[in-house]
This record gives sequence, C-alpha cells and structure tokens, in this order.
Amino acid sequence: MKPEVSTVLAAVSGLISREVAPALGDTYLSEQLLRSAALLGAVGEEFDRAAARRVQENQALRRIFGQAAALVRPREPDLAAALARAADGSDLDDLRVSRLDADNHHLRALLIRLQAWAEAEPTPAAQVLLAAIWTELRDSTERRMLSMSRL
Amino acid sequence: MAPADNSDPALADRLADYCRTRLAHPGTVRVSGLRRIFGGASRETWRFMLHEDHGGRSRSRPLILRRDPSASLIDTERRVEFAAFQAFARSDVPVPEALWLEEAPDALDHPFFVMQEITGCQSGPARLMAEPFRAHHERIARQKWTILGRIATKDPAAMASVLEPVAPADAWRRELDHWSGVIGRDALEPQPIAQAAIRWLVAHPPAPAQRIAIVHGDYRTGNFLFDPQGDIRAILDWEMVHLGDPLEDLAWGMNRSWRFQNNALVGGLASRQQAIGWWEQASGLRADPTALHWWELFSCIKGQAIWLSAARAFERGDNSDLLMAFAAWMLSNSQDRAVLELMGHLP
Repeated sequence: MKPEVSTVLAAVSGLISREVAPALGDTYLSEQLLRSAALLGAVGEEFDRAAARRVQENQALRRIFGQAAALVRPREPDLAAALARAADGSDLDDLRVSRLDADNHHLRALLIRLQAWAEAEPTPAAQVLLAAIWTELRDSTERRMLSMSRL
Repeated sequence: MAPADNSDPALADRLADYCRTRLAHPGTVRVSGLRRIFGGASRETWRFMLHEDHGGRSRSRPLILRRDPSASLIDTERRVEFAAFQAFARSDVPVPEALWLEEAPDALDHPFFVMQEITGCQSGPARLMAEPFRAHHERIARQKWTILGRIATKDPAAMASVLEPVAPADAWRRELDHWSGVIGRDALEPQPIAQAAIRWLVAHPPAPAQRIAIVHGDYRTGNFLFDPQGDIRAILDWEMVHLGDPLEDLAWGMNRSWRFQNNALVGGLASRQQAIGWWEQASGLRADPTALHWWELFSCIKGQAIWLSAARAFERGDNSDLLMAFAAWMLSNSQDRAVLELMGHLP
C-alpha cells in the first residue's frame, strides 16, 4: 500500500509552509508559497470525501424532488415533470467527480426553480417543502466546508 | 525566467523611462529595489525607489506602482481609484499621495498609476491579529470606523466627475442588480443559497439612503495601513469606490469574511455595537438595524460574486494567480454560511 493522496498532499503542504516558505527571503514569493500550501491542504482534504459528499447531496436533492413533484403538479406541471425525472436518476453507474458535478449542477438548478416556486406558495405543504430545502442547503454547506474556511 | 528574488530589471528600466517623462526636471532618473508586493486582488502592486539627479541636486523617494493584470478579481477602472486618492488628499481620511496615472498600455503593457509609499506600516490581517498589534486593537478599531464615518461625510461632488450619480431610493437596486448580474454571468455552478438571498433582497428593499455618499466599496480589515503605534496611516484599495448608501460600507466591513478567526468581533477588532457607535458618531448618520441587515445580506452577495468571478477567471485561464483559486476555495463556502446565518437558517 502506498500513502493516500490526502496524506501526501498534507505532508507537502506542511513542508512548504513550515520549512520552504520561511526560508525564502522574498516576502511576495514566500506568501505565494504559503497560499499554494494552503490550497494543497484544501485539495487533500477534499480528495477523500469528493465523491461521497456529491453522491450524498445528489441523493438528498432527488429525495426532495420526489416528495415535491406531487405537490407542484397541479400548479406547475412542467416543473413537476422535471422534478420527477430528476428524482428517478442515480449516480451509482459513474462516480467520477466530473460526472457527479454535472448531475449536481442540473439538480441544483432545478432546486432554485423549486425553491422560488415554494416561496410564492402560501400553503402549509409548500412551507414544509421550503423548510426541507433550507435544511438541505444548510447540510450541503456543512458538507462542503473545509477546515481552513471555517469562518 | 523571472529572478528568484522577484525583482524585474526590465520593468525597472521601463518604469524609469516613464517616470522621466513625468518629471518637470528629469535629469538622471533611476529605479531601484523594484519588488512585487503580496496581495492586491485587482492590481499588481510593486514597491520601488525612484532616484532623481538634477542640477547637482538629488533625491530618492519610495513609491508604489499599481498595474492592471490581464484579468483581475475585480474589474475596475484605475482612473476611479486614482481619483479617490486625489479627492481625499490632505483630508482627515488618510490616503497616499497619487502621482501619475497612465491609462494607455504603451509604457508598461497595462494601464497603471504611481503613488507615494507610506513606509513603516503593515496591512496584513495576520500581522494585525498577532502581537504587538493585538494590544492596539481598540485604538485601531476606533480609528477604522471613525474614518469610515468621515468618508460618509465627504461631499460626493469631489468625485462626481468620475462616478455615476444615483438617487437615494435607487442605490440598493443599482448595487444589487450589478452584483447579482455578476453571479448570473460568472458562476461555474448554480448558486441556490445566493439566489434565495437575492430574491429576498429584491422583495424586502431597504429604506432610501439617508444621504448619497462616497462609498469606498472594499472598506475592511486588510485594506488599511497601520503602524506599530496603532495608528492607521492610510486607507487603500479604492478600486470599487462608487456613490451610494453609506450603510453599504458599514455592512461590508462586518461581513464574516473579514473576521480572521476572531468571530465575535467585526473586522476581527471590535464588537458590533462599538463599531456602529464610532461610525454613527463620525458620520452623523444612524445605522438603522433593518436597513443595515439588508446591506449585510447584500454584502454576502457582493462577496460571493467576487469569489465566483475569481474562480471563473482561474478556471478559464484568464488569470493564473493563485489568489483567484484561493478566494473561491476558502471564502465561497463561508459566504454561503453567512447568508444562512443572516437569513435565520443556521441554528
């Protein structure tokens, strides 16, 4: 077994920030190196979880869409049909990050339409849907957070 | 290949040639110590020493070159930033002396301007958050928000020749339209949190501006020079200056992005109440909580727009400066968190 990607990147990042950058006399270059080290650390942190968090998020969105389609159908049949189609999708046949991102972008674009629709609906069911959407948006923000961006 | 010490002899020679054309008595002109300074999201910033010999008299002065890159974090007119330095020269808002503006690319390949370097100071937030500067936080914070209040009292006519006018009732709409447009144009992926915030902002507009003022546009910790005695010596980075609601500046400085791990304190320096109090006293304005909340949420949209533009420029190869990638990786998520918090969706 060889060292994992995240481990290697964390080690390189640490070497740059603790030893190489401080040894440089030039402030501009050392600051650029420190920034590079921080990015390497972030990429390393993201690597291990990259596919998992995308699958998790896409599944959560499809779950919301599956529940929302029936609610939306009487007022917005086109949106309801798009929600139903998206809810039937799956990520498990291709776990490349680029493919998961493409699905995620499609799903999040649909989420924007659904959320705008729910905001304009005064019914209790729409408000429950809206609360579910906000919960998922909060959860997705937590999933995407990096330790260095924890402001 | 550039030298490892980040100097640029060819650029130094061309800069000396340019300076010679701008001096009344050029004589012998030489540039030394030209070094790029870290930071500067929208301009390359270089420090240099200008040496002049004329008629047996000589002088050397430290100067700053601010040059446009090929693509920047913020698309701005250097003419506007230059005009801001001129408008506040010799006022109670400290700024460096602006010397020469060159908008043609002939001299140094890109437009640029030259200004005085204020020496013996720092601007980096990391330094400010550490000793010995930590001991001066209250002193620096009081100056920071007092100066911001003074900016709000400046007659906007001082910059009317370079800035678009706006009516008090329209200031919010113009800014929101601009920055939400940037998100629509530059985002590499859908932004449901930002879009929800934009819809809320449109549906709940703030009261008209109490007055139209000069708005710095990026007034935050990191964009002023402070000295070891805890005095703010210059307000920098006026590239987003515009006319508008002065609450915009107050809110921008309170954004979570500028707290530097010191979350309880706005700007990493002072309590929210203290900051607002200093600003109100200096500006003579009231920070209405409802309007300020609107502008704070707006500041998240503006911030997110800037990070998304940076990500796009890096992804497309328009600008390979790591700052462009760094901003998106480190700040985009926290900006979403700030929206969630301000809209009441974080526990």
